[in-house]
Amino acid sequence: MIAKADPERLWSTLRSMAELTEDGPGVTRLAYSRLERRAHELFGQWMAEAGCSVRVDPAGNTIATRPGRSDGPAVGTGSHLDSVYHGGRFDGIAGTMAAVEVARLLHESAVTTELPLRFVAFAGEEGARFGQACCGSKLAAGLSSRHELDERRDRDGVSLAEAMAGVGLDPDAAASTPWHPADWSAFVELHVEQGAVLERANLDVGVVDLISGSTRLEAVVTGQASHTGGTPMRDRADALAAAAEAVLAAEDVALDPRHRGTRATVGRLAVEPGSITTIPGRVTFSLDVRDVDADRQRRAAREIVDRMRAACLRRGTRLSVRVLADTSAVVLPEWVRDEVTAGARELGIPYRVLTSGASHDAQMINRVTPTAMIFVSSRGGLSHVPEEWTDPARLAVGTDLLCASMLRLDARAAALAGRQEPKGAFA
Amino acid sequence: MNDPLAFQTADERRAELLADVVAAAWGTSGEYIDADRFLTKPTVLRRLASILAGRVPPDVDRLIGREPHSLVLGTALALETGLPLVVARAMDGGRELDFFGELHAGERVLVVEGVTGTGASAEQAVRLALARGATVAGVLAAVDRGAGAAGRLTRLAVTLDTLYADAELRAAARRERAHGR
Repeated sequence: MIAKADPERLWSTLRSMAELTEDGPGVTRLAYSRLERRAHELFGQWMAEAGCSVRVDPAGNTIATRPGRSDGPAVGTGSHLDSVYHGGRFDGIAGTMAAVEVARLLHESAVTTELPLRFVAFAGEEGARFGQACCGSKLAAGLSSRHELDERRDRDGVSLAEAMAGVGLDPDAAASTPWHPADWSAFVELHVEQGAVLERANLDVGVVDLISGSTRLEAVVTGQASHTGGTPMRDRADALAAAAEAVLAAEDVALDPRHRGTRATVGRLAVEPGSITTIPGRVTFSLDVRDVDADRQRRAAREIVDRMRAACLRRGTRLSVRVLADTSAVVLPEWVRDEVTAGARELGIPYRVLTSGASHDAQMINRVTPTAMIFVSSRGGLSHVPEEWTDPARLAVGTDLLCASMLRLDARAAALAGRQEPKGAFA
Repeated sequence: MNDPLAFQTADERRAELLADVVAAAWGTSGEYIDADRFLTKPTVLRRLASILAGRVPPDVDRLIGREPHSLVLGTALALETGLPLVVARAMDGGRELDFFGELHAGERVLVVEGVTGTGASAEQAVRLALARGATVAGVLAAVDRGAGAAGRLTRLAVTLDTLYADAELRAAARRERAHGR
């Protein structure tokens, strides 16, 4: 019999992690910083105390292995320990601390699984520092090239490779030694929802079926810069006025009834020359279109660009667009999710199936091994801010579900691998 | 790629869709694909309809979709192509098939199937269409389980066109579970 997760203990573990921060509001513990490595060391120390053997892979992911009755593919869990600038205490940390709690519960109950379990703290998940999300898990999945590690730079000009080397990691090895699929049977990441679906439904947990993709474009509108006083309205080619129409076109398309689940955002917009007395001559802006429906996402991006083009043409400005990044939504394997929802029914935990708008390490790890995600309710849906909050009692429910899911997946993997003793007369 | 908004090649799109079909529907209830699981997800259904639309012969007048799951795909394909749909419904406990909606003698039809198995269901639809005086352009399926449908339809002089073969799904599912070894 395994004890229930302890909300007090979870909260105290979370608080210890939150102390590892730069000065300023909230938590700032950036990807591949000294502070992030200290958080990983602390995680490793806790896992060793819970009976795991701990190693760090070349990408900086800390992996704690708890042996099973026999060796073989492990069920894994984990999340990340880094944060955005002035972020909260829960994004990523909640899932990693849930992993710690599961290891502690199993250790205290002296439970032995059929096959090993692994608990992972991923490195560098937040895109805040290098403009690339899921660095550690992408490397683990073999989805990043060595070149990429040189290309990505933080706002001080430090490349990802340099930052990695600076904290004692080996970027060459990181890009050339992905995880082996044969070492894993399945993976379950617990994460805070970062939305308000669960809170509105007054539920502790959700199970994710789809992870959104995103199409990111950079658009440049070129008009004619000129004197704001000397140029009559009808003679203008105002790049910002055209860009403003473009921003509203994006919103309008995403609000259309055909687009439930599409989200379009212009999050960055630079106006040149940026003077009070000069008509904007050039505007550069980003467009991020996210969707849980792969084709619809691209169609929405196209439709928005078509409408932008029409607005620019009408206003006598030029539009050029380039693709910055483009990924498809991913269906998470249903059989892994079925084990999680069966675990929820077993424990009497009500849940909702929901989609994930953000990308997560789970998405990358799904390329290595079939992966599921458990969401835990976020207060007010807030995330990436100091006010980010998840009730430890809710997190404890999510942790219990995580533990049950891992044990079910372990039993399934053992049965599939034929490692269970045959029963009855045919033995 | 010259078009800045050409996001992926047809091969990439097909491979991603295969991965999603397998993730959504393989092995939830055994070592096979469960049509109800993948045809109920818009991200999968939309791409299936879009890709299959390109394989609908130009001279087809109507699509035939059989209840329950092939009708889902047939409906999506009707919306994608604009071709009218004939609903095929099993009557009398499954022994008889009947058509609902419109179908007229001399029209050319395409039978749409979510997943073909032995081909018995597709054969029934083909035979009824012929009996009603229609000509059959073929059978178009998202997935063929490789359980005899192609052979059975060939004997009726009808071709089976499928997007994914069973072996391909099986290989993708194995890749997904290769960690078991």
